[in-house]
Parts: sequence; C-alpha cells; structure tokens
Amino acid sequence: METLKDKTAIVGIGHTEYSRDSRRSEMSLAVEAIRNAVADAGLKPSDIDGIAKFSMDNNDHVFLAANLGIPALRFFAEAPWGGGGGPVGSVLLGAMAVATGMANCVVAFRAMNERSGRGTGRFGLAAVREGAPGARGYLEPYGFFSPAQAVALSARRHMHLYGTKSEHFGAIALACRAHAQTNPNAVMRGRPLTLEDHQTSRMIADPLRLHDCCLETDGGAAVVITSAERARDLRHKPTYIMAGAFGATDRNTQAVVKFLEHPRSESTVVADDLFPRAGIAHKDIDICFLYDHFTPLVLMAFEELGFCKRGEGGPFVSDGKLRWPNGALPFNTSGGNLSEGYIHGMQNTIEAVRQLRGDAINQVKDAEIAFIASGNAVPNTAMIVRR
Amino acid sequence: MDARSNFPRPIPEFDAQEFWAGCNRGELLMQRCTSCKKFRWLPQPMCPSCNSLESEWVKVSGKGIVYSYTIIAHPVHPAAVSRVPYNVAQVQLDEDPQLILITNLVGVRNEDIRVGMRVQVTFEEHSPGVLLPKFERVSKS
Repeated sequence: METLKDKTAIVGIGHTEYSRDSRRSEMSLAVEAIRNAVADAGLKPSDIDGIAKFSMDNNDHVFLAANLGIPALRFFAEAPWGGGGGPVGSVLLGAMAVATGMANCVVAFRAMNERSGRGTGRFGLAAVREGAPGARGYLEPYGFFSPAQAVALSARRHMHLYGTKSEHFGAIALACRAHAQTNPNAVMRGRPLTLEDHQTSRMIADPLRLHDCCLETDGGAAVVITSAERARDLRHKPTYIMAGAFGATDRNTQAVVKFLEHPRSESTVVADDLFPRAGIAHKDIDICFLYDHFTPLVLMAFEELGFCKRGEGGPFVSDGKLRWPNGALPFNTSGGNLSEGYIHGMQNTIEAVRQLRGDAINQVKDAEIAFIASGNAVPNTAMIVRR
Repeated sequence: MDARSNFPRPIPEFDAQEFWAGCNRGELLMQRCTSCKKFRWLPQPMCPSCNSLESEWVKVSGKGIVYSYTIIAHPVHPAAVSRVPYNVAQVQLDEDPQLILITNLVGVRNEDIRVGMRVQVTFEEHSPGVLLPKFERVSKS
C-alpha cells in the first residue's frame, strides 16, 4: 500500500508573540508567523507554492499570497472543523500535496486574535440572536452554548462511569503550567499552579473549573512542509512525517458531547490507522502532544488513542508520567493550549519539531519520535513524526 | 423581544419542523426509520443504519434517565447572567440508549441532581408559542 511514510518533512517553524491583546489584524499575525517559519527553513516566501489553513481561520489564501509575494500558488486547502481539527490536519494536507507533486513547499498556519475578539470572536462568549436554526435549536434554547459546557457533560459522565476525579483533570493542567514556567513565549510564565489552586479555582460549568480550560490568546504559528529529498539540503535537521490520519464517526454532531460508552470515536479511528501506517507501537513514542482545549478531553484522548485503557485515564495522567523531565511520557512540553497560548494547537507541532531537533527549552533527552493529535470530541487529525 | 433577554428560540426548519410542531402539541416525537425502525437523534434526512430516506415521527414515552449534567456557573450569554447557576442535562430516553437529548431539569434543586435519576418529559414555555421539552424528576413512589 502506498503511504505518506517519510516522503515529506517539516523544515521550518515560526510564530509571533503570544499575547492577551495584540491589537493587530489576523493577517498581520499570519504573515509574521509564516515569514518566520519560511526564514527558519532557510527559504524565501516566494519559494512557497501552497497554503493549508484551518477552516476557522479568517485569513484568505489568496490575500496571504498577495502579502507574501508568492508568484505561483499551486495548492490551497483547509482542514475542516478547523478549530480543534486543524493543527495536524492542515499539516497533513500540505504533506499530501507535496507527496503527490501538487506543490513543492507548503505552509500550514493558524493566526487568530481570539482574546481581543476582533476576528473569530471569543469562544467563551455566545453569539446573541433571537433564533437558533438547525442543530443549534436543540441546544441554545436551554442555555447550552459553549465548548466548556459540552465538555462538562462528558467529564461528568466519565466521573460517573470510572470514578474519575477533578484532581485527575488537575494533573494535566499542572503539567502544562509547569512546562510553561521556563518558556519565555508562554502567556502563563511566572504564574505557577498548584493542585490547590486548581481545586479552588472558580467553577465554569461544574465539574469544569477555570484551570481546566485553555487560554484565550492572540497570535500566529506556522510550519513549512516540503519533500524529504529537498529537506536534506535545508538549514535544519528535518522532522519527517511518518504517518498521518483523519478520523470522524457518525457520532460527531454539532453538540461536541461524547457518547462515552460507544466503542468507536474520532480518536479511535485516528489511532487505528496511524500506528500501522507508521509501523510503530505506542511504546515507541518518546514525547506526546495532545490538543489541550479542556483537561477532561485530554484524559479521554489518552484512552481513546490507546495510550491506556478506557476508564484508566485518571490514574494514567496522575503519576507524574506527563511531567518533564522525569515523566515516562512527557506531554505538551512548551505549556500547550492551557499555558503557553491557545493558537489552536499549532504551537504543539512547533514544539514537537524543536524537541526532535534537540533545541527545545524543556528538552527531552534523545527524543526521536513524537505523537501529535488535534482536538478530541471533534473530527480528529493526528500524525507521528520522527527526527 | 430583545435577543439579550432570553436564550435563542428554536427556528423550526427542514428536518426539525415535525419535532417542534410536536412539542407545541405537548408531544415528544422522535425520528424513526420507516424501514429498519431504528430511532435517531439529532434529526437527519438519512438513516445511518440502513440508508433509507424514509422516516416517521413517533410519539415516545418521554421517560428516561439523567445521562449526565452540568451546573453552569459562568454566564456566556447575556440572558444567563440572571440565571446562573442553572443546569443543563443530557437525558437518555428509554426507547434507545443512543437517544440522548440536551435539556434542562425542572422542579429539582441543582444539588439534588444525580446521574441515573429517573425523569419524565414536561413542556415549558420558552417564549410565546414555543414549548420546549424539559424533564422533571419521577417520584420514587
């Protein structure tokens, strides 16, 4: 079977400052991140001939090309469900375009001013309207609006079925916050978190507390993908894409609430394909990046992606396993969406590349293979990369 | 009415019309495949089990259990400011374990809500001419 294995590589990474209020346009954030990523690769923007973005991103491919001075744009695409589903999906779209010869060099990016709310609008605020059409009509009349509220329902069910505790969710928040303390670009640097802080933080949607929720952030993040052959001549040691997968099921509806008893989910579909395509097993993964929008969904992602059994996510995350430097499976080592900045998960891919190049701040010793997944509870995308 | 003063009302359209018409008559209707008789929720034009495009709306018992719930503390909509803390629950209907509705529980204190609690449908006015199916606790007797 023809696969993507090792045909393409991530060769450049770049981002802007991550902030709470950039007062900048999303186009400005996008082009800065892309310019930085292209420069990191040792290329010029005019070398780019493909742009892959998140469907939720407000920047237009063609206007980006106009800003960047791309003379011939050969490929443009976007990852659907491009909030949670975009960070790996957009990279994989680029990799597929390169592997099939549709483009030579693709940039995948996300740029948003979510915190200042001038672009996408803040996810923590509901749109105000008199009527709710379609699927929203079954949710909004009840005062059910936000992703946090949906996650709270899944979290409660998990607690009921498996005895999972809020402290288990806290272990994920604490790992990310600890990792952010050494990251100069992390929004939450200088604000360490204790389990007591987590347990006494204000309730958002019981059982979800403030520190179970990711940040709202302004910023841009981008990566450059090209062929493995061309990658060898560029500035950095390439990060090869071993395998990628997209996954959704007939349970993914607009409610973003999981049906926990169902044997199959977007994340199980992804894992079923990803490991055989890469030709490795879970035990071969040195470092793990999961989309950390809300802590309970990270815990469930570890289960559904096969890192532990269903129902065992609580104990799995709570023995220090996720914490750099001593944990067995270091996780989101730059602080993730929970503590570095919420650039919709794209910054996790950037950090994976740093780790495999060997120049990360919280460097995992001898890291060779990284696992990166996009959002759980929405159509998921994931990849395995190696140095 | 100012959209800020109440949660949005449902706009019945296409696949949703029969459901909301039923609510306004005080009936909880669920979409069922005419061919293989499997229920489905949310309403959609095709049966995911047998791919039939034929479906019927069947009045169900309105009985079920609380599958999960949350007590919302942080108001994300202007109308929520005066209502927090309020509950949002998932109710799993007796007819099929995959029939799980988002709703509010009424007539029960938030602190008394439990997963697994038996509940039954009741209809409450959302705004003039719009009835929403909500659920109340079934007494143990």
